[in-house]
Amino acid sequence: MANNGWVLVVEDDVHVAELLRVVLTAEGNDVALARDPQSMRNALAARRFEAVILDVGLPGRENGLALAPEAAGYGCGVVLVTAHHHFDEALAESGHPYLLKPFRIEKLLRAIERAIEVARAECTLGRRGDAAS
Amino acid sequence: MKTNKPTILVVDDEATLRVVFADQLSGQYRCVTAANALDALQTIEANVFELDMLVTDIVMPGQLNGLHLANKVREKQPDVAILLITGYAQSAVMKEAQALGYRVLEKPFRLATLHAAIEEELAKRPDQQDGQDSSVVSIERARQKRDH
Repeated sequence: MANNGWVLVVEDDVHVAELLRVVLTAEGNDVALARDPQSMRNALAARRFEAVILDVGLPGRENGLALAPEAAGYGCGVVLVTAHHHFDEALAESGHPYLLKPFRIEKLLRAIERAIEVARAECTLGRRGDAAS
Repeated sequence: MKTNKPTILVVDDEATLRVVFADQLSGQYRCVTAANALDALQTIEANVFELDMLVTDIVMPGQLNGLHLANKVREKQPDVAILLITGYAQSAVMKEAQALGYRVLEKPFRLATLHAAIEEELAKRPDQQDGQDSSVVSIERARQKRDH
């Protein structure tokens, strides 16, 4: 079953970003990559994405957790990804689904599938996406 | 619902073979590919996906060959099943690989032989209980927090 959604991957590690792109594209998604917060903002302003994968460990103060509300404000389903398991409580508090590396590819795909479903449902209901308009 | 297929890292410097292997294996497995041992090592060290198996050609250009890669994977992630492939039957490196306990498939081989070898090597791994993965719990916990 394909996801077939627009997904933005916000990840500073080029190799990791490319791995995620390959896996998500193979599942039928259209994928764009952003390496830093400003690139994320540019991408979100340029087109409507249904899901955003945010690396929690982005360098600087604007890490994935800090960026999550802003990304969600564009009507995207947010999925957080991290290798740092000590973020567990903060991640749970964020209200967004998150994946701890290393994870099964299926778990990533299910999380993205769910994020896309929620984003589409909330878009239909007109609840989200104010930041993009 | 997406089924949990074993994830295999396929490493071969010949692009055509990578595509054929990945295409033929994709029905039963999730395939991630790499064009050389260094690229594969980078993927392993990135530690993004849980890997179940490494399928690698032995002879590849660059400083690392498939046997070096296999040794590094065995050292870093001993639970990952390993299958080596070579077009140089009875070469010194193939004999070395076999002496180290690796299974080696000689090219050319039938795809059914590849499938059987993969299944047999995967079956030798300790059981991996999917439900123990904390990321499933994490998603559910986050969703509960959001909804309440």
